Amino acid sequence: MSGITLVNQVKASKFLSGVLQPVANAFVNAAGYRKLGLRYDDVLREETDIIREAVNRLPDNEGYERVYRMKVAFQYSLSHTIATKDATLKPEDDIRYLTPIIDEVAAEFAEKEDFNNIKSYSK
Amino acid sequence: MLSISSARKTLNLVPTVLKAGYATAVSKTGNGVKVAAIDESSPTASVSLVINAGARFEPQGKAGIAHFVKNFGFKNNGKRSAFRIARETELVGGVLSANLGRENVTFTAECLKEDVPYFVEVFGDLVAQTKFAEHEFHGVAHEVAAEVSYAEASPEITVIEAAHNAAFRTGLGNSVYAAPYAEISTSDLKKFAADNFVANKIALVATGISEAELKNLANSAFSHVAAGSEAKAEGAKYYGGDVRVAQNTEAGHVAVAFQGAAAGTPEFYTAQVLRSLLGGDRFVKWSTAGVSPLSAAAGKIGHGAQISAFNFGYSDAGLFGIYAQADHKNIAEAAKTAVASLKAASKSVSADEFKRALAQAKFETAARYETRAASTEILAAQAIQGHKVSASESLAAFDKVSAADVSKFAAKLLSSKPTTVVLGRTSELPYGDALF
Repeated sequence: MSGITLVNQVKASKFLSGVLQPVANAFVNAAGYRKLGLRYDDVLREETDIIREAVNRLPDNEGYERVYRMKVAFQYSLSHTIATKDATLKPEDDIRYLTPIIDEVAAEFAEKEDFNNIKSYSK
Repeated sequence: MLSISSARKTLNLVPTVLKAGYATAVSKTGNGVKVAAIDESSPTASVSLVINAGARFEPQGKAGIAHFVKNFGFKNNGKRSAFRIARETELVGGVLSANLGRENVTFTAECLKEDVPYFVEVFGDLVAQTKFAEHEFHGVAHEVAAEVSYAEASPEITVIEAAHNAAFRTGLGNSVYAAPYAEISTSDLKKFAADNFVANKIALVATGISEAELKNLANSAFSHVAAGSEAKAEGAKYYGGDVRVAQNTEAGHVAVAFQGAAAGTPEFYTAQVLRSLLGGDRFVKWSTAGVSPLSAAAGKIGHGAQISAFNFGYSDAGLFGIYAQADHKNIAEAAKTAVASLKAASKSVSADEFKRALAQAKFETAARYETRAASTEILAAQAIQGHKVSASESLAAFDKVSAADVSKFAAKLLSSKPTTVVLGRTSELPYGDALF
């Protein structure tokens, strides 16, 4: 995704990750999507061209699983409950299955944008 | 279209052109990519990537995979996206195309001379790094389906494909169009590419650039391609048989084919002369009657009847035959006349007829060396097989053919089991054995 990110620097530094990891965990807990059985990539805003295209490119089974998780989450929401502790998504299951595809699509869109604004010059 | 007189003039010009620069030596890069070029003095150039993995090399149960491979040319690869290739090609004024034959898959770029290095690099990436991505596959599958339905709607293509299938069954009998039931996935394609996109099965063929220069470019662009081994086709075996295709068409179509000769053999040149002798081609636009037996027969039947001879030559086999097309009332007569002409040729060929046929066959062959698409095709077939035949050498081969050879060849054709394909309202179409 776009924007400035220091994630690699933080991960590389033992000190920084030691300080920030608990903060990150607290943030995810507060966000609460795992308690509805969802993954982080399920709650990304879908109404953009890039993500819509990325979702289209998901392999069939991953697409079905994504829809299934969303249906389950809707059901929790309708019935005003959250997942039991067992059914809550475990941190190790919170896989970024869509992010690599989003990066790929974003790069393609950027390339397209560049070519559409190309200025030709003679050699 | 050419009249006979202008054809003669061109023929007289051929030898001097040949001396000027039609040497076609086949050399190889370090890892085995064959390189051949015709350096003609034109401002444009063409480069073709020829992969010896055409329809005949499709693995069992994966019929149609070569068609998908063809349509996957110039898609996303490790270095460039399909979009980038398309745009960059447009920016340099190039034209890309892909073509599938029974022997080879060919990707071609036509461009200005100075842009050849770019396209050679693109070809190197196509071979080594095409991603065969799932989301691109959906688009490719649509294109394949569209081409298949085009082929199904064309009686000529259907008949020729059916004739090959009946004649050779597997291998050369495989259709260059994917079957409607083809079940191909991206992992099949990746495996096919890993098996076949190897240096020893690849030839790089160009016009408008010197062979040394092309070899240099190929050396760097194809350095990452695995050497692999040369393609081993199971030897083509001729079977023959009858195929009847029911279709609601205006005209009836009949093809009668026999075991022909492999391209480049002395017999193939004889077959070319016989093809010209039987004729059926129109040399004068809108003319209704020609001098050859088949066009005379078609002219006599009228109502748009067309009869012509065909001669397909492959690396180790050939298919020679006659194709007749006429309304259903007359098709049986047209096909019978065509077979009768072949029978007559098998008995004797007059000196005059032979002279005309030889001249036409020579002209056709020499002329093929002079158009870019055809000369690339010739060069590709030769490069893949590693032997070289210049235009002058193939013209010389024609001089060894005699009238007796032609009638002997016609007799040999008739002794093989015929392959008969009829297409149209089958109840009104003749049966193969009724034509002889």
